[in-house]
Amino acid sequence: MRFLILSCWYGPPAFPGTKLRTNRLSERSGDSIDCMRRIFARNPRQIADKELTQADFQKYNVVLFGDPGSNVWIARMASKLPIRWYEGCDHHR
Amino acid sequence: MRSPSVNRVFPQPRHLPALVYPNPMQPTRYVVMNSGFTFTESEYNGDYSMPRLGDYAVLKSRRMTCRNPQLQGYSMNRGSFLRSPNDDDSDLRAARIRGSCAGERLEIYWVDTEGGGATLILAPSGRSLLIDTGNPGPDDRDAKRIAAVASRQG
Repeated sequence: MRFLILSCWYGPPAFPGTKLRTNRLSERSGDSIDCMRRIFARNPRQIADKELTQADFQKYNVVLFGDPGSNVWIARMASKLPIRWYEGCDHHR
Repeated sequence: MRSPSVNRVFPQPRHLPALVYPNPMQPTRYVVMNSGFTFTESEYNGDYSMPRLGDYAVLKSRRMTCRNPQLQGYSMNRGSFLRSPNDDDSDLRAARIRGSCAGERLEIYWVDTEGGGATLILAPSGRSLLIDTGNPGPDDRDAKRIAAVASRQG
């Protein structure tokens, strides 16, 4: 199974604190990527969201970090994911 | 994969959503959001280890509340489709599915054991079936986990 990891930022996060919190998770994901390299001998690609193309979705499962303000692909998918963001809160359904 | 039945609002900025879901842009592929490996290298034993978060989770920022190093600094506010009995990380080792038909209930318990998982099925007739029992160890960890789940159900 091939993964493509988007760890960089397209714009300012939609909510205060999101960038700090997702950066912390992203760092841990970086640890996980090292772990993946050692255990599975795989080297997942990490790119910025603005470098991702529609064609990449055909080839890869993608890992996105951020929120609709900071990651353009989360913004584009947001209406089709089982979660809603409202100002001041996340709404999960 | 179906949509979670949860309908809750979580205030920012302390909560962060994480999920895995069919990619709306390409449904034959998955999209993962704000998550990665949730098991540690020391837990890897040759099989793919059990993910700690399931299909979706809401991570709540707290200081060093979670014993899992990959999730340290966060506690899980919600679980997954296989929702754990409690939100405590230690209880994620057992997940439960319940179904019912015409008043009769089928219960399936999945217990996290080394090398995969043990599955305990309780049929409406009262009979039970245990599939896989993990591995023997010096402290009988897997056996104790299965016994704890089985004894809770009587």
